Amino acid sequence: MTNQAPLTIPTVQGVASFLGGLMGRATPAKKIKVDWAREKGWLSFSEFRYPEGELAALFVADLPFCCWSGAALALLSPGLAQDAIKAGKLDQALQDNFAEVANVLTATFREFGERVILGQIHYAKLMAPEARPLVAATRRLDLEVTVTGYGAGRCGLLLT
Amino acid sequence: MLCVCSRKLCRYSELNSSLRAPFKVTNMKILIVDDAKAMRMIVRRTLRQAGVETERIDEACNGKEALERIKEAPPDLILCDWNMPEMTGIELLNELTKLGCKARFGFVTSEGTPQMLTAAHTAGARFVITKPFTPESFRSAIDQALG
Repeated sequence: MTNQAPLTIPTVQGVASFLGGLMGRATPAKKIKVDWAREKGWLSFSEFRYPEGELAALFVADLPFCCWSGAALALLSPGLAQDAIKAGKLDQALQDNFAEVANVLTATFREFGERVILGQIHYAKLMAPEARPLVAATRRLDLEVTVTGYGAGRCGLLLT
Repeated sequence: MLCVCSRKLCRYSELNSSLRAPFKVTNMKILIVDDAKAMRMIVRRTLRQAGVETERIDEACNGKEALERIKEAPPDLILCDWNMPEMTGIELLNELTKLGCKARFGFVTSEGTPQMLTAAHTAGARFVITKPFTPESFRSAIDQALG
């Protein structure tokens, strides 16, 4: 049980603008409904933690989002990202880049005066155990994000 | 006075011609300190987009490595992340102050709490650029630091 005040749910436009600023390109986003628990494909789970260490939120992303955003961040070719999607896994460079996307995304809560830091990132075909209590979170923002010049992927912020 | 710059100042699409004009100070020696390789590359790219014209840009992946580089050859400007393994940005800045290093020091970080800004200012940082950033936020911060 946390003693922390719950995080504010960011807006669709806020997250889209934030990602666009990071990647230096338009990243239009739209809200979607997704049941991450029923996803059969590869997902990543990034822990957003309060400075005191408690879990504040999970940032869930599918493989296309990780690949497109990771590639766009460092201006890697879309083809390289496409290859990773076909291969079903991130190579080390894309993984490192996506980690930076997740790291910077923690700052999206800054505008509400809230602070979280990136904890561990789990890359898995199956849902990580720590994600299970949060996948049904009612305080959430699930998005489809198009990284202009690359492609579209899905991600979600699941808040405690 | 500490200068705080963020993307709210400007978007890429709002870049104007004055932003593309070269900096008055060229050939400045710059050290970029960040544990994320991609971010070091982005900082390098953004400096170029901001109009900083220099070939003398070096990189370090944490404070400890940066300290060694700075002792060997002090840069004019240090752009440093806040959270890094081995030695954090604020620890690096404190070490440099002890050594009497005169390089201008600014943070480029996703942190941005009032406490962090106060700590940065107290330690002697010239500016804090928060991620995500724009070329204009870079230019504004560096202009002020050089002024």
